[in-house]
Amino acid sequence: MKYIIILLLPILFVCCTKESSNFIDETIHIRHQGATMPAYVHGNHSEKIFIVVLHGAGSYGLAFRDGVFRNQLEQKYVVVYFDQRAQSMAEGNFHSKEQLISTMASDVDALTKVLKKRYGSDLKLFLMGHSLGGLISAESLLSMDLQTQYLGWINVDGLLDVPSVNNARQNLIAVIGDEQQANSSMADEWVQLRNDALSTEDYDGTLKLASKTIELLYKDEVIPKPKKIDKILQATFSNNPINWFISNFFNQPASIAIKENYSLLPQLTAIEIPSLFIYGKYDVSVPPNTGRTAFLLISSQEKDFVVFDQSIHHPHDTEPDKFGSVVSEFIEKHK
Amino acid sequence: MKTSTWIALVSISCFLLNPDFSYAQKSNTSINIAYFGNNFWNPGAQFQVNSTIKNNVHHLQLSFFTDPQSHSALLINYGISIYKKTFYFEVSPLGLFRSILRNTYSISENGSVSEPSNFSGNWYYSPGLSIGIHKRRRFHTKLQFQILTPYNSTLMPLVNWSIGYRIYQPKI
Repeated sequence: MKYIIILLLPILFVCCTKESSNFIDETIHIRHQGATMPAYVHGNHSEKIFIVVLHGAGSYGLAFRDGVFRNQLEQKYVVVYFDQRAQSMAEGNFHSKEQLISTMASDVDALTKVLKKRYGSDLKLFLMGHSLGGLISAESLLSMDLQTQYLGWINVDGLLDVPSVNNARQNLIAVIGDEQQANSSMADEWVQLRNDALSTEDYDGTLKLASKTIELLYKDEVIPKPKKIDKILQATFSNNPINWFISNFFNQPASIAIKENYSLLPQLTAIEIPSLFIYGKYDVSVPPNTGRTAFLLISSQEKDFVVFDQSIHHPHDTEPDKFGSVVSEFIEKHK
Repeated sequence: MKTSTWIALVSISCFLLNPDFSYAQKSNTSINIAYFGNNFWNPGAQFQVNSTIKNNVHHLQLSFFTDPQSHSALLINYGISIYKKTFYFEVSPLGLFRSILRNTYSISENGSVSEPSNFSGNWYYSPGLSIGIHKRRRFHTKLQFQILTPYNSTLMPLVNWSIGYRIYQPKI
């Protein structure tokens, strides 16, 4: 018996949950259309303001739970980090990948209903999507009629128009190459990169050039290089790295969006809620020009487009203070 | 539950009801308990019965672990163990994995939300392989690899580590 008690003690310690009067710190699960998806709910609920975060391709909900999200946003608001269908710790059993993007949008609707049931129908909800999450957030606002539920939409480097993204990447790499060749000690490499970008038409070829661009931007110290060790530790201990890797290996909604040449541009005029668009100046994954095209199309009366001058695809990591203040300002204005 | 999980469950039940096993239980059955770590650090426990039937060591394992951020799980596995001098291998073709999820809300087709459940979860068929070292079968440590299927649209591997101790061995 003593062996059993010794074995179970650490488990009991780990299972204890932390709760304090103004802070929520828990995981809930949403079971919808064959998938069971965790939502990690953390932060200050004194004002009942919730930010629902949809991660991008190959990422996971808790990837955002460091830096500005944990230290600034959670101190004022509740942040809901959602592992989307077939990503990271989401589990279940569904066979069809048909219409995966629209199914993921309906998952956001399901999550919204659950949040209202658990925390009250008087919640003040804001929807934030990063990269592919930007596409899913827009799709859910449009097709699931979620604009009546959310007070604002925060689109961070959102991929809203797949057909234009390859061309936009090539153009941005060429522009950065032009800028940098005058200021950099690696002028020859920038010129070569610029010429390669203008001559490549291949999607994967452009992605390789985008990686090279990021590498040179780090070397030129235009962009602060993020501390990888923090991200690795977070991916290992606050997440299950095997589940994350394998889920991403077998299920790639981004590939489906690319295959289907997904574009929300024709529908974006229907967006009317306050919207904040955040793009990194050097984002060679989803260039800011693609975001600007979408920004001009939405019908929101209250809308802002903010470029982060020292960022690539993760402005919340590279310029956390600015990110925190821009997002907080938007929420305070529209809460 | 899917057909595959029913097959695994019925097979394990047949093993438990097997008259040979009942005989063996009286004569040569040992019981082990172990710390069971999913991904090493998600803590849990394992209870294992080994029984020798016609010179083959059969094992039946019941394991539990909790991943504090997301879920807990119960596992039951049955198979054959092969002991060498200091190494041993386990082949567990029959296995069931049940995830246990706290605060789970189900959304029906008409969009209504259920009351929360703390014991919701999913069943998976989970065969496995283990490799370990032992000292006179009294102390052991092993790495266990399992597959969960059908998981999402395909499968999911599971890596567990256990370190344990034999708590019961009849004197023959």
